[in-house]
Amino acid sequence: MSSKSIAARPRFLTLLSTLSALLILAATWMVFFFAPREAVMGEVQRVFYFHVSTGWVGMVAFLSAAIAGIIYLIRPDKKWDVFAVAAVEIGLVYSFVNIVSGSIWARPTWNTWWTWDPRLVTASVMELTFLAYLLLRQSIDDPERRARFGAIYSILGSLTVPLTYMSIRIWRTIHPVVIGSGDPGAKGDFAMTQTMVFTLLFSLLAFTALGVTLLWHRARLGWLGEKVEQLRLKVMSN
Amino acid sequence: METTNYLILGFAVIFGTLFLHLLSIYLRNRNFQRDLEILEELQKTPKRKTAKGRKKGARR
Repeated sequence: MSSKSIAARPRFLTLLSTLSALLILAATWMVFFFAPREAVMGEVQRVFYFHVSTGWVGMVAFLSAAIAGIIYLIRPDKKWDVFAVAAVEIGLVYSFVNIVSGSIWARPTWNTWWTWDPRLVTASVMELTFLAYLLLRQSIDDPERRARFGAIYSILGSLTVPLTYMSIRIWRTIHPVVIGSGDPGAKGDFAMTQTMVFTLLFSLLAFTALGVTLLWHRARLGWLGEKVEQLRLKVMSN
Repeated sequence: METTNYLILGFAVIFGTLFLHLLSIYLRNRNFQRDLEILEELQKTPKRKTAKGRKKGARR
């Protein structure tokens, strides 16, 4: 297969990339001009829409890596390993944005950048668990062993996802709950108006589309990397 | 409560990080494409005779 055919992008991916960019632009417009200003927290509450959306995409990406890991263990095919690495990278970026944007929101709301709250701790544990996934993979030379290790690790690591999601529902916390009822001691909680709910749902849709698009691009990058490696070995052996 | 500065900081982090990630994917892709082109060129070029092969040819 020549480099030109590898570089050729599926038409659907181009369409999805354009659609994702438009959705993100529309979601940004809604956050600033459609959603109302929250009375108590003021302007910083607008971070909430993208904070929740990035958290959602991060969790879905980590779960996707675990699903790819299960498929790899059942039917060992390199493409699932490449997909899992791509999903973990996307998950790490989005979860990082989620944690940092949450910290920025917490400063005026909780009067601190960081507190050892169950949600903050479990989200950080989830992030570090998958960061270790990428680091540990690099220490294994044999590609098959690396892929098998990655599959098992991503399945076990994905247990941190429901733990993070449930943390504000099972432990005492100051972190507000978006879906369902939270701890009465939560700080920064607010009653959402219909326009706020609509903006949140639209942001979730926009970030999900962006997540899928980036995952596809990143998986193609991984696949291209594999091709380059195979060709390099072939050229060196000649 | 006046929290506009935190709003600006929050969105700078969100869009800044996503932009850097996009840039990193683009740059890695470009580098792989270059590597692939070079490797394909190397594969196309005919094999040079090794020193051992040249000696054998000279004896004949």
